[in-house]
Order: sequence, then structure tokens, then C-alpha cells
Amino acid sequence: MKTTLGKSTALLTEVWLPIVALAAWWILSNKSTSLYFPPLSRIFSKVGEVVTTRFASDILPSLQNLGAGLCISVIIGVACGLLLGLVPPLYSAFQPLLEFMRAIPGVALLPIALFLFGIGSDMKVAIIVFGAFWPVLMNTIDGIRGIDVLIKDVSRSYSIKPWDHLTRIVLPAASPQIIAGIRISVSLGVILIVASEYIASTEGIGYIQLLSARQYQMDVMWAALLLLGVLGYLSNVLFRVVEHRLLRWHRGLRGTDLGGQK
Amino acid sequence: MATRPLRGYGRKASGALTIVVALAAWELASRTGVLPGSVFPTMSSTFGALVSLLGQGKFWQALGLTMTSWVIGLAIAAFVGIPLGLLLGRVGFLYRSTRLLIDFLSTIPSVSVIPVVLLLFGATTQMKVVLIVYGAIWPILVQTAYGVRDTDRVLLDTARSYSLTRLRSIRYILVPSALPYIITGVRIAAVISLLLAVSSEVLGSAPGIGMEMVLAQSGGALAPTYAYVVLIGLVGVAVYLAFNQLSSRLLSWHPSERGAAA
Repeated sequence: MKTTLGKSTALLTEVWLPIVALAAWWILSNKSTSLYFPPLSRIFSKVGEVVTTRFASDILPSLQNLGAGLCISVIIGVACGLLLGLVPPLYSAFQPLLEFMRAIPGVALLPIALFLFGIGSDMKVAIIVFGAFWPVLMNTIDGIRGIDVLIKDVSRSYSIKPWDHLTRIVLPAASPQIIAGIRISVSLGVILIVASEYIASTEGIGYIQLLSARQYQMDVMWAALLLLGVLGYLSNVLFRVVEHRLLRWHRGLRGTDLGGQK
Repeated sequence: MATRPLRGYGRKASGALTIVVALAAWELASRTGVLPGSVFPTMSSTFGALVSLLGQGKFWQALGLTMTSWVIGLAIAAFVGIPLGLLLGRVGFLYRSTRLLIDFLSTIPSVSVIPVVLLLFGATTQMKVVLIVYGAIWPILVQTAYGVRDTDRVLLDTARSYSLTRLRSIRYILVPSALPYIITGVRIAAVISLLLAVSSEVLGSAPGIGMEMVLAQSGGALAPTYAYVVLIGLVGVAVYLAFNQLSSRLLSWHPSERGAAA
């Protein structure tokens, strides 16, 4: 009884402010005639409209390009990270070059991507890959370089085969860092897909948003913004679930290290 | 011990060599036609364009506009975000109440706010600053709150037993103990701010170095476009190095830094 009461108050403290904020927005904008801030009720109905009528034509392409870009980023990032992490001289040779390339904001490459790929999915995926693969790469390198020397020595003295060494020791040991890197990549990827849809594009949620802003259809613009927010939020939540699953063993290990403390 | 600095030089030399080789490979590939000349300028023409840009007042003016909005936006985000983060970290009820809202607002891809601020403020520095503040405040706020919540309870209890005034316990206990987190937050925010400054120029045609780059691209000026990308990358590296310096200076007393120096 007491615990359910405690749980429900805990839930209440979490949700009251978002509810109040939404309600305030709804009430304050209800009779709004301002061009820029249409009533929330109208925005919501536009969200429904966009989701039902433009799912295949705009939402799906956004998701596909994002997914493709992130998958390629992770594959390239982990592969290159393994190579650079396992071969220290290679890393020290490439480090300055990589630091420089990483410092270029992904959006700054849009003009070049237009030169190289023109308008279309290829350009968007390329922008995501170039902007989002750095955190995976850097974190993979850091994760591998941070592996306990003792573990490597043990692996060597038991003459574990290179493949097993890689898949059973190196990758699992570096996985918390790699996953932290992927998480940053996911939020960068969402930013970059929107950015790439703003510039010379004919489809996507970002395209809907920009077009409606240009035509002063503010309700559609806000609806698209809300959708992008939900997309960002959901991808984050989804990733947290995956992370929780994948790293369950890691938390257990750390828990015992710290005497059961969290 | 004498080998250490020597190895340091070796690392630097190999890093520099890689950059030289990469630049030479670029030149060779574009001269022999491996990189198509229609989309890839030669390295020498890119750097020629870069040098001529550095001689133009127009370039420095654009860079000044970009960096001004970056500094102002980041400063406002820090001045608002740090005190607010301290408050949220200190008051458990506020922390829990705002968590969902902050989670949602911070995962909205920040570039998708560009159409909104563009309509409200036009393509101005003011628009850039508002955008940067919006994007940069979240990491500062969240990291500061984390840091405060991570403060050692014993320290706080000690402060109370010695009846330190509230202001003093903030000054001598909360801020120092949260400082590493705050600095991490500001560092993340600094990179995001640069991304957003450039994004608002590339996507929203606000005046600055990003807009100059888009102008070069739409005019088909290949080498200057690439030169702008290289320059933006160099600005990114400068920001990164500056904040590295700042953090090791501000945290020189902190165990993690002292350990690293030894």
C-alpha cells in the first residue's frame, strides 16, 4: 500500500510539469489569432494529418536515410576504431588528421556534399555518415586503449586465438564506450537528417517544416517541429532500452566491484 | 624517463607526416584525375583560395560575425544554465519535476528550431544567438545538475555542522565539486554552439562564414568552397584546444588532472 502510494507520488512529480505546460500552451493559444502561434488544437490535428497522409512520402524516407546513415556510421566507426585502437603507432600517426576532420561541423559539409552527390538520398546519408561516425570511432579507440593491460596479458599467456581475443575480449570490454559513442551519433544523426532536408530536398519531415514555414502555414510548421521532437525523443528512449539490454552484464560486474552499490 | 619526450616527438612527427602525405595524396589524386576535377579542386588551388581569403577584409568580417554570435550565445547559455542547474541539482523536487520536460526539449534536434527563429527574428545575429542559447543550454544545465547531485553527502553534512552560510557552502563545496561536470557541459555546449552558428548561416542565410561558403558553392566556386570548409574545421580545432586548455587550467587542483600530470 505504502509503496504504491510512494510510486504514484513519484510518478506525479515526474509528470505534473509537462502536463501543466501542455495545458498552459493549449489554453493560452486557444483563442490565439497570432500568425506565429496558432492554437495547439489545430497543431495537433495537423500532426494527425501529416502522420496519416504523408507517412510513406516523407516520414519513411527520413527514417530510412537516418537508419542507413547510422548503420554505416557504426560499421565504419567500429571497424576503423578497432584498427586504430589495436595498432597504437597507426593511431598516433592519424590522430591529428582525425582531430581536424572531426572538428568540421557536419552541416559545413553540406555544400561539398551537394557538389559530390547532388540532391537525393545519397547526399543525406553521406552527410549523416560524415557527421555522426566520429563519436563511434573515437569512443571505440578510447574503449580499446582503456582495456586493462592485465586482461590483455592473460589473454596472451593463454594464447587465445586472435579472432576470439577480438570478439570475446576486446569488443566486450570496449562495448560500454562504443555504445556511449553510438548514443551521441544517434542525436547527431537526427540533427543532420533535418539539416540535409532543409537544403535542396523534396521530401522528409524537415522538408515539410521548411516548406510550410515559407508558405506561412504555421500550424503545419509547428506540427512538423513536434514530430521532429518526438522522433528525437523516441530515438533516444529506444537507444536507452537497447543500451540497458546490451550492457546488463556490465552493470552487474560493476555492481559487484562496488560492493553492490549502484 | 629520457625516452618519454623523445617518444612524444616521434608521435608528433608521425602525425605531421600523415597530414603531409594526405595533402600530397590529395594533390596527386586530383592531378591524375582519380578525384574528378568537376567536384574536387586540387589541394594547391584550395590552399591558394584559402590564403587569398585570409587577405580579404570580407572574410574576417564574416568570421567575426560567426564568432560574435558564438561567444554571446554560449555566454548567455552558461549564465542561465549554471545557476539553474545548481538549483535543480539542489532541490530534488524540482529536479524530478523538470526531468521529463528537459529530456524532451533537449532531444528536439536543435536545427529544427531554425525555421521558427528565422520567422520571428529574421536572418540576423539575434536569431543566431537565440538558436545557440536554445541548443547550448541543455548540456550545461543537465551536467551542472548532475554534478551537484553527485556531491559527497559527507561534505554537505560537514558544512552544515560547521554552520557554513548557504552562500559559502555553494561557493566552497557545491561549485568546486560540480566544476568538472560544469566544464564538461560547457565544452559540449561550445561545440554545439559552433555547429548551430554555422548551421544558421548555411541553412538560414544569416550573415557569417557559413553563408559565405554557401555563396561560394552556389556560384560554383569550387576551391573557395573547400577553403571555407577547411577554415571552419580549423575554427573547430581552435575551439576544442581552447576548451581543453581552459579545463586543465580550471581543474588543475582536481585529482583526475593531478593524476594525469604525474
